[in-house]
Amino acid sequence: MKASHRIFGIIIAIAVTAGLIAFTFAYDWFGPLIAEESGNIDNVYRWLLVASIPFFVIIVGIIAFCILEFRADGDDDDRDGEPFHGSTRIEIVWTVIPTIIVVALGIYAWIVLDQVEAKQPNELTINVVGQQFAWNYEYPQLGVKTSGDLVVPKNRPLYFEMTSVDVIHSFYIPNARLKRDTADGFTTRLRFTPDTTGTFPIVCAELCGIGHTTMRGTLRVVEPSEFTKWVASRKGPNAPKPTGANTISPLSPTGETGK
Amino acid sequence: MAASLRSPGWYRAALWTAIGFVFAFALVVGIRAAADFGVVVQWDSIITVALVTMPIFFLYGIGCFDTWLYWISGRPTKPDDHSDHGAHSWKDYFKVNTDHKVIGIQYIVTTFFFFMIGGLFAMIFRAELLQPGMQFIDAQTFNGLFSAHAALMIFVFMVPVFAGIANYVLPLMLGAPDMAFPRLNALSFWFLPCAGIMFLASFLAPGGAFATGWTAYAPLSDQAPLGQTFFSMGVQFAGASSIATAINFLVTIITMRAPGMTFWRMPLLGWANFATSLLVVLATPFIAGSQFMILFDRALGMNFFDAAQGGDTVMYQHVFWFYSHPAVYIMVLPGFGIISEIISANARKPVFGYRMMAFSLLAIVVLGFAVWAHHMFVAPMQNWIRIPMMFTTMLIAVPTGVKIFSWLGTMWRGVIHLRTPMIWALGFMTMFVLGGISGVMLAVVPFDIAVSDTYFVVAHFHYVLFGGSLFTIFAGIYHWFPKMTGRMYNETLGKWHFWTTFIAFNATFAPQHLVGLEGMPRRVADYAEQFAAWNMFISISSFVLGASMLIFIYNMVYSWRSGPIAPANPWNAHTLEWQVSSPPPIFNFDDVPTVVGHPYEYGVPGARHGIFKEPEPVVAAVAGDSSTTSTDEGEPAPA
Amino acid sequence: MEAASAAHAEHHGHMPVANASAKINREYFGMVLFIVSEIMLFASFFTAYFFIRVVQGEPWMPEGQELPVYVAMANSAILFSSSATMHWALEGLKHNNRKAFKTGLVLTLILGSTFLGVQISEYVHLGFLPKDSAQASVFFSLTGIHGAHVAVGLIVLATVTRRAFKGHYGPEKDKHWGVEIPGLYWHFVDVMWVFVFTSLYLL
Ligand SMILES: [Cu+2]
Ligand SMILES: [Cu+2]
Repeated sequence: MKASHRIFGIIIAIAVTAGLIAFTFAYDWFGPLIAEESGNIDNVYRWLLVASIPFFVIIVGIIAFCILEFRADGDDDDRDGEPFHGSTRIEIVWTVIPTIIVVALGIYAWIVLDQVEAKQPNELTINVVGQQFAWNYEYPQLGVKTSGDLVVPKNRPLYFEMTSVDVIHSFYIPNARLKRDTADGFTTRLRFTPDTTGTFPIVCAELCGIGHTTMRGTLRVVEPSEFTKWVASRKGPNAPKPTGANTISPLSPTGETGK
Repeated sequence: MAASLRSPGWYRAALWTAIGFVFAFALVVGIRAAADFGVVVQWDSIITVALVTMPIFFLYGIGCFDTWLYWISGRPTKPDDHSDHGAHSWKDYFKVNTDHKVIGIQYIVTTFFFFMIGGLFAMIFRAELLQPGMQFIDAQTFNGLFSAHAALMIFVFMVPVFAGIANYVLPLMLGAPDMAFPRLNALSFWFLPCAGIMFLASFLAPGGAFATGWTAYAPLSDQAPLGQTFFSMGVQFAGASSIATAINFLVTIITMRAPGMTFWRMPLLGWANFATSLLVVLATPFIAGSQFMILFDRALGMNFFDAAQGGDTVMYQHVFWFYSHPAVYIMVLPGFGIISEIISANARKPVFGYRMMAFSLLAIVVLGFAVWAHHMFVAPMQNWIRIPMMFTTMLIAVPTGVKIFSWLGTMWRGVIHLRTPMIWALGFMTMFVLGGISGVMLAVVPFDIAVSDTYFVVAHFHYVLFGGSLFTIFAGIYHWFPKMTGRMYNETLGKWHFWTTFIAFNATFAPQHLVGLEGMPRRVADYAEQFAAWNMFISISSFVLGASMLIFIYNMVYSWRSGPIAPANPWNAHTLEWQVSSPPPIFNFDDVPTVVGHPYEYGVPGARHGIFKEPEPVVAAVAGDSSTTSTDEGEPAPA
Repeated sequence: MEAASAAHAEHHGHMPVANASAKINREYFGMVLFIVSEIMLFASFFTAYFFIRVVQGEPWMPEGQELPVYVAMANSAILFSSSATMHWALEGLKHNNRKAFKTGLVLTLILGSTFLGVQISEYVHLGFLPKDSAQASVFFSLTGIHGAHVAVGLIVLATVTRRAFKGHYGPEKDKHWGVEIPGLYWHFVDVMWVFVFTSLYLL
C-alpha cells in the first residue's frame, strides 16, 4: 500500500464531506416554513446530517479503499490476510467518539424540543376534534365552531387542545413541522405561532380507516384584522353551521404563502 | 385411499382441515343454540373459531403430532428409524421432516414464496401511486394491500427466513447432529404456512383484507371487518413458530456445541442467533398479548381500548412496540452474524475484535428493550418518557457502529475476494449505515415530530430491512448455497442480481426520504400534485426492483438443478460446516468434530478450528489462546 | 410437548449422541425457557392492568363489579397445596416410594381440578361480564389465561399419572424428567397465580 494512495483517498474523502455538508445547507428540504420556533427543527435535521456525513463518508471510503487496495488476484489467490485480531485502543476510540456525538446531539435536541413546546403569552386556544374523516375546530375564547377550514390570525401564539371521538388520528401541519395524535380519552397539545399568511395543508398522519387519504383540511393564516372580521361573520344569526365534513378539496398543495 | 387418509400426509391434512371447519361450525352453533343467543349461525364467530381449529387440525393431519400422540396414548411409538430424516427427492420437502437441513430449506423456500407475494402486493399499490388520483383500486383494497405487504414481509418472511438459514447452518457450525428438539423444529416450520395463508385468505373475508397496517392500532382494529381477525390469528401462529424456534436455538447453542467449542470459540453466527433468540423469547409474547387483546375485544366483546369503559388505546401501543421494536433486531441481528462469517471468509482475515462483536450483540439486546416508545413520540403518551427513550435509542447507534467499524477492520489488509456473497455484504454495510443514520435522526424527538408517519419513516425502515436485512439474507443464501444444494450458483447472474437490486432499491427508496421531508404522509392512496414526479419515479423503480428478483429466482432454480458440483469447502473457510461434504451427510458428521481453536484464524500459520479426532489434552485446555493451537492434524472429513 | 419430547430423546437410537456442552438437561432447560416466555405473556396483560388501573387511575373494581376475595383466597390455598402434593409426588419417585408418587399425582390432579371448578363457578356467579368495563376485561383475561394454563397443566399431569400407574418412570436420574418437567410447569402456574391473585383481588 502506497502512502500516496492514502493521501489521495483522504483528500477525496474531505472533498466529498465538504460537498455534502454544503449541499445540506443549500438544499430546501422541507418546503415553506410558517412558524419561527419550528425553524429550529429544520436546524436539528441539518446538524444531524452534518454529524452523520463524516461517518458515512469514512465507512464508504474505507470499503472502497479496501476493494481497490486489498483485492485478491483472481479466484486462485490463496493468500491469507494479516492475522491481527483487534486493537483495544481503536475499539475504545470508536466506542467513545460516537457516544459523545449522540449524547451531544440529544442534549441539543432536548433544548430545541423545550423551545418548540414552550408555553406562550396571549395564546389563542383552539380545540381540535378528529373524527372519521374530518377535523372539527372550536375557539372557546371566541365561541366559534368550524370544520374543514381552520382560520387563524398571523403572529398570535396558537394553543391546540386535541382529542378524537373515534379512532386515533394525527393532526399534522407540514409547514409548521408539527404533528400530534388525537385519541379518544386523551387530550394532546400542540403550540406554534404562525408568522406567514397563506393557505397550508392540514393532513391526518395516522391511518384511521378507509377515508384516511382524504382526511385533509386547510390552514388559512390571515392578518389579525381579517381574522376579527371572520370571527364576526361566524357569530351572526346567519352564520354557516359546521358541516362536520371536509369542505375543501382534499389534496390541496403544500403551502402557498400569501405575500 | 383409506390408508392414505390414516397415515400422515396431504390427504389426511385436507380431510382434517375440513373436519376442523365442521368442528368449529358445530361448536359455535351448538353453544349458541344451547345458550339461546338468538341468531344461531353467526358466521363471524364460526370463522373466528375455525381460524383456530383448522390450522391445528391441519397440523395433525400433515403429521406434526403423530409421535407425541402415540406416546400420550400409551401406544408404542414407531421405532425411530429416521425414515423422516433427510430428503431423497423433492417430494420429501412437502412432508413433515425432522432433519434440520430439510427444515432449513423448507423454511427458506416457503418464506421466499411469501416474499414474492408480498413484493407483488407492493407493486400493485405502487402502480396505484404511479399518478395522483385513484386509478384502479379502491381505498379499502389499497389499505389491505399495504397491510398484507407488511404482515407477509415481517411475520412470514423476514423473521422466519433467518430462522431457516440458521436452522440449516447452525447445528453444522456448532458440530451438532441436529437441533435439540427436532419434532418441535418441524412443528415450528409448519406453523408458518398456516400464518401466511391466513394473511392471504383475509382477502376473501367479507369486508376485505385487514386494512389497519401491520401495527393494527386499536381502536381501529377493534372496529375493522372480519379480515382483521385473520391478521391477529395469523400473528399468533407466526409468533408461536418463532418462540418455539428460539427455544430450540437457545438449547442447541448452550447444550450441543462440539467438544472444545467454548462460547469464545463459537462462530459469530452462533452468537447472533443466541442474542436473537433471547429477544424472541422475551419479546414475542408481547405481540401475542397485544393481539389476544384485540381478539378478545373483537370476539368476546371485551373493552381493553374503549375510553368510555375505562380502556386505554395507548396501552396497546406500549404492548405492541415492546415486541415490535425488538422485532427490528430479531430481523437484523442474525444478518450481522451472517455478515461476520462472510466478510472474514472473503477477506481472509480474523474477525476484528471478536469479543466486542459478541458483546455489542448483547448490548443491542439489552438496549433494545429500553427504546420501544420512540415509535410513540407523537402519541398521547406522557411527554417526559420521550427524553429517556430518545437517549437510549441514539445510544444503540454505538454498539451498532462498533460492528460496522469492526467489519471494516476485518477487511483492512485482507485479501478480498469479491464473490457474490461478499458484494452483498458490502452492499449491506453501505445501505445499513444509511438506514442507521436515518434511525438516529428519527430518535431525535423534535425531528421525529416533524416526520413521523411520513414517507421518511417508510424510507428509513426499508433501508434497514431491505438494504439491511434482506441484503444479508441474499448474502447468506449465496454463501451457503453450495453447502445446501451441493451445487455452485452462477457468479455472473449473482452479480447482475446485486447490481440491478442495488440500483433499483436506491432509486425506489432514496426519494422517499425527500417526499417524506416535504410532508407526504405514509399509508395514503392518493397524494398532492407536488409529489407526483417523485412518486412516478419511485413506482417505476419499484417495478425494476421487483423484476430484479427474477434473476435471483432463475439463478437459484437453474443452479440447483444443473449448476456445477460444489466442493466441500469452496470458500476455503474454517468453520465446521465447511469441513463436511456438500450437502452434508444425514447426521452432519460421521465423526464428532473437536474444536481446538478460534473459527476465524485466517493467516495464522497452522491454526485449526475443528479436527475430527481427539485433541491432545493440553491443547484443549488452553481456551482463548488461538495462534498456538496447532495440532497435527486430523484430516477434515472427505468431500 | 416438552415432556413428551423428553421421554422421546431415548428413541434416537441411530442419531449420533450430541456432545453435552452444558450440564443441564435439554428438555428441562427448554421448559425453563418456555416458562420465561409464558411469564412475558402474563406480563403483557399485567401491562394492560397497570395502564388501566395506575396510569388511567380507574377505580378497581368499578362500582357494582366487586370480586369475591374470600372465595378466591380459599381457592388459592387449594392451588398452592397442589404444588406441595406435586413436590411430594416427585420426591416419592426419587426415593422409589411409588405409593407416595402416585398418591401425590392423584391429589395434585384433584386439587387442580377443584381450583378450576371453583374458578368457573366464580365466573358464573360474579354478576358482570368481560364487556362491562376495561377492568372486567383485564380481570377475565388474566384469570382466564391463567385458567387455560391450569387446564393444560392438568392434561399433562393426567398423562403423567396414567403412565405412572402403568409403571413408567423410576428413581434413576434419567427416568424422572418426565415427571420433573411437567412438575416445573405446574409450579410455574401456581407461582403465577400468586401475582394474578395479589394484583386482582388483594391490592
Ligand atoms: Cu387518518
Ligand atoms: Cu423501534
